[in-house]
Amino acid sequence: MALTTPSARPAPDPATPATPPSSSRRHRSADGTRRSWTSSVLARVVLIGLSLLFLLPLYWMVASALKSGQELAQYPPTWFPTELNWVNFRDAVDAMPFWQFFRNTVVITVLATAFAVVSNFVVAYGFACLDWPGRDKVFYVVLATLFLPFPITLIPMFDLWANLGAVNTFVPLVVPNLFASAFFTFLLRQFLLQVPKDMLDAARLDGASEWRIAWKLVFPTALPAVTAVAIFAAVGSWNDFLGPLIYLQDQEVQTLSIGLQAFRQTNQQDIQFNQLMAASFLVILPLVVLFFVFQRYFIRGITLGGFK
Amino acid sequence: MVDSIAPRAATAASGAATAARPTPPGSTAPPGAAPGTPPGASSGTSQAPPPRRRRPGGTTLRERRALRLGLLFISPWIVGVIAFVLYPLAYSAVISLTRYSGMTTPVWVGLDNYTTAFRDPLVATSVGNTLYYVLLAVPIGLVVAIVLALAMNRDVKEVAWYRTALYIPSLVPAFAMSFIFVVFVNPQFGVFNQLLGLFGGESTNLLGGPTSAKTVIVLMAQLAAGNAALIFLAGLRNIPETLYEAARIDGAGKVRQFFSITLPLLSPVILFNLITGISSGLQVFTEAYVLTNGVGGPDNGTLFYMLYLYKNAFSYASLGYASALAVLLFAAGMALAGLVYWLSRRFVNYDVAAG
Amino acid sequence: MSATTAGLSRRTFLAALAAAGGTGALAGCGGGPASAPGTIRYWGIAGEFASTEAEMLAAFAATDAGRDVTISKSTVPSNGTGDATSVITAVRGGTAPDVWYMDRFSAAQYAALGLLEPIDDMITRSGGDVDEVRSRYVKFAVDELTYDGQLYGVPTECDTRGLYFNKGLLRDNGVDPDELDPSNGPPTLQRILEIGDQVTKKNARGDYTQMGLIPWDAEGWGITWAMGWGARFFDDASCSVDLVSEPTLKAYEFLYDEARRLDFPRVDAFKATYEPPNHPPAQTSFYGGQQGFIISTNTYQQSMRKYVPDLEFGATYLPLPEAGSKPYTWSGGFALVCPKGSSLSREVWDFMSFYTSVESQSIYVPQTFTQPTNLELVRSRSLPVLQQELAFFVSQQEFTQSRPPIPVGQLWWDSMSAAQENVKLGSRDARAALEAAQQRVAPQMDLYCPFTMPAGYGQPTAT
Repeated sequence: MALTTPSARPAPDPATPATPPSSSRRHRSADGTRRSWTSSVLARVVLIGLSLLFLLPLYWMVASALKSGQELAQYPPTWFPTELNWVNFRDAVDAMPFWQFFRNTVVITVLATAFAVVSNFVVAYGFACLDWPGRDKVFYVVLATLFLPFPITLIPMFDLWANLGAVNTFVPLVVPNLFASAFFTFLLRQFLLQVPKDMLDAARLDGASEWRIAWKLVFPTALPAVTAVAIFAAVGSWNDFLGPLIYLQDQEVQTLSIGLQAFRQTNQQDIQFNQLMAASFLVILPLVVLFFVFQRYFIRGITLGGFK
Repeated sequence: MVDSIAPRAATAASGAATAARPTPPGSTAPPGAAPGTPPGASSGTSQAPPPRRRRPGGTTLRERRALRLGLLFISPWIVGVIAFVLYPLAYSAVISLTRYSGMTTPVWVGLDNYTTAFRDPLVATSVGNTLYYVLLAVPIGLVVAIVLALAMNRDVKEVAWYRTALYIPSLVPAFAMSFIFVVFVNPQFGVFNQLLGLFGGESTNLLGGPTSAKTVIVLMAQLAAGNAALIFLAGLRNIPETLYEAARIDGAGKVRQFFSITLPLLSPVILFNLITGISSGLQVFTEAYVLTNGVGGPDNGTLFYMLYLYKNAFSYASLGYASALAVLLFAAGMALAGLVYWLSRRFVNYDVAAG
Repeated sequence: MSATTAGLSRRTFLAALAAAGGTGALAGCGGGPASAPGTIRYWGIAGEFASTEAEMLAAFAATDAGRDVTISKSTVPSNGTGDATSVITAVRGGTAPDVWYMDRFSAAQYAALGLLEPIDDMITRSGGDVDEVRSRYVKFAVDELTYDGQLYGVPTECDTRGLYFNKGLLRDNGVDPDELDPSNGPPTLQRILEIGDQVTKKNARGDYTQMGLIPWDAEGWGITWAMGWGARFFDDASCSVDLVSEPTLKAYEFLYDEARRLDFPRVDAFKATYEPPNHPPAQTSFYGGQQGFIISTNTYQQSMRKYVPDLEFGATYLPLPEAGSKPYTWSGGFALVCPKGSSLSREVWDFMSFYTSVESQSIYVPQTFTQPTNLELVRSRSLPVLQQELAFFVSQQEFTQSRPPIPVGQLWWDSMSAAQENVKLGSRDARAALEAAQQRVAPQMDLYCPFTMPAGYGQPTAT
């Protein structure tokens, strides 16, 4: 990328923002000015149509959450709730220690995500930006571990954590993220391999340590991929059910996904469907907001010259 | 451009995945990229380390130092793979040679569990179901994800909203989605059946047939294509705009640009989504589990391999048998991953600048 | 920007490390099953009836036995039917609760696996008498909690299958619903199918818009019908499952023939339209008035009251497949059991004993429309709901049985359900389907032999 990005040279002072604001704007306008009015309208029509299609499930979730039990029984189902039963949301929150579960979920998710980003980035750097004998053979082992079926890990892992006295703590859900995962390492490696070698070598010639190169030079350029890792780690951790199910047995440490499951567990077939949908919506809402905020990091990470 | 990558390909021949990289198709396009190239950086040869010579049975000091540094960086993974992969895997490999319920003492049965697996008609059924799923879901998933990524990458002011909308289904927990999704496949008023009805199809329960139910699960999985799309989006954002500019100057149309620049430069990401797609396809579980309440119906039509494995482990308490199934799956997955990875060396292009 | 990002990430990293240390410290005090004396760790009811259970726990706390006992309740929802992942791991890790509320159908299997503790000793140590305890509850429920002659828990409630009918729908189609009043005795299968055909309607496209009896629908399992023909699924003498016996074959042949006669794909489309899988509980074809009959349990009434309070329905015996055969039905339900590692203390027994007492079930039964398992309550019928809404269902306790409490129960259930799918879809005939089930279950059963069913399994409870 350094090769083709004039703005990357000369290397600016590290204290100043490494991304010239003009660079991303230029990136946009380059495309924007060229586009005719009709193609922009056409693009929007397609985008809106596609978005509506993907929003349908969410809409159905909210609509069902607002319906009364009797309206849920109607055939065919109504597209718009005839009356808005906001009380379902309150009932859903009251049905479990919602805020306690919420706090637990936040703590686990934040820690797990931070750990996953740091550990996977470091390991991916080792596989992509460093050249060492046997590297690609070892990397094949990383790929192979993608195929480890999860059910067989449940029991040995539980035995391990139980022996360490970590059941009913967040440790089994958080600490494994410190040790990288095949999926995230592979993902980041694919992006880091695209970082030009010349750039790294130049920095090395300047006498910078690999650790410094990794974080100051490479990390910012990999921001889109790192953001993807952070989002996946956060969503995976937030929605994880099986992990909390077996490791968090006491109510004080349980998470929202356990609380959600409780709506499906009565001793009969009678699921509180509207409350289940209301609770599901409340559970994913923070993720939606978070995603909306963080999606902007998918802008191109042109900061190649930000290192000295 | 061509000459700038050739030496680097040679130096990487010590075993890097970038070895034997062919000239990407897009490299013919942009002479315009050259003026922006700093002279010092344009050629890999000037700063590339001299080709290393490997003495038989020994390594150079430089290699040893590189090895130490590399191992240091991947050390978190080494710890993780020992604790979270090798340990459970070894455990399962041993257990797979026993009859074990999880509670009582394991009973040694040798290779019985493996021979049983090859005779078990449900293993055959579940392997067939799983292959059906992989062959359908992986290619469809790639195409859908690329389309979504292109949509997420449009330069319109409100793109953040579209990105969020397209990603939302990936945020919904699978079980909640299964409750919602059935509405869309309802025989009378479901979206799919309305479409089928336009072509004169009669009302059928798509979840009622063993084959159509699998197809429904493939479709349902597409709602979560946002995950793969995000990775593609990150990949798209990695492609320098200058390449497109140069291509436009050359008069290349949108389609030509897509196939000459976008696709080749997305190839590392395509490889990633392909391998992880195969991996998650072989292990497809959650959708079938929640959609069929853990049964895998109708008529075992959605009894996927992982579902059968899981049921053996935790519903029938046949941990030994489940472990044997797991070892077989792991072996098959590894072989498949190796194949794809090996094939990919010919097609994957890691050099953004070379586009 | 790069500088701040890197700096930030390092700070985050350090903060996260510190936080991890915090959670690590938490591990020291939070983990481990060792409960304080007088504390019972209990995995109880989740969801709608958690509040009902809270009333029962409060009632226990008000008793002499419960005064000094703390019940530390949490809900550890199951991952799915017959899925014991959380308990298997907890028992292995030594973190299982003292008492667990579970579907007792799996009790024999979990007992055979060593997942549960027998409670005979605990009862004796607490000054009780095991035989007296057994005689407190309806027999079919105790049978389900018996393995190898030992008792593994106490039954908390039960349900019984019956045939519900929509009175209005029948009347509109020229059938007098009074004919089906339970006081007239069990209807014959032939008559129910006749009425069903009278109710059935199709639209111009040939889709069903209204149906009578869909034999495999809801609780109309293959095994339910097989019991109607008099099937036993286990043979003590040979210690073997017997899934291809004459009565079972007849039942599955009946399902096969009906699926062809009614044209299964169209029936399936009908059901999926009005009652799709994972539907909201209120959206069923019976509630919607599109289906004349449904085989379901007494608890069905609880949701009917909630969602379709105006629906005029009746309930009667399951239809007799052959004139002159005996009435039949089966019950399931839940139980309190002690996972391995339970303290099995006197307090634990006091709690279990109270939970299944007349006082406690009198709280639970009216709110949930389940049936009591406590014989004193069954006999006295001293709750209004037992004399009204549940009257017919409780009367069925005289002849109800349970599913066979065998150590491969879940596998048996799944295999019989798979056979049912085979005949429904017509992918196998009844014999081939049942033979496949036999081949799947029998070898697994062999591993647990010698084994015999609880004494007198299948015999009626004296109510």
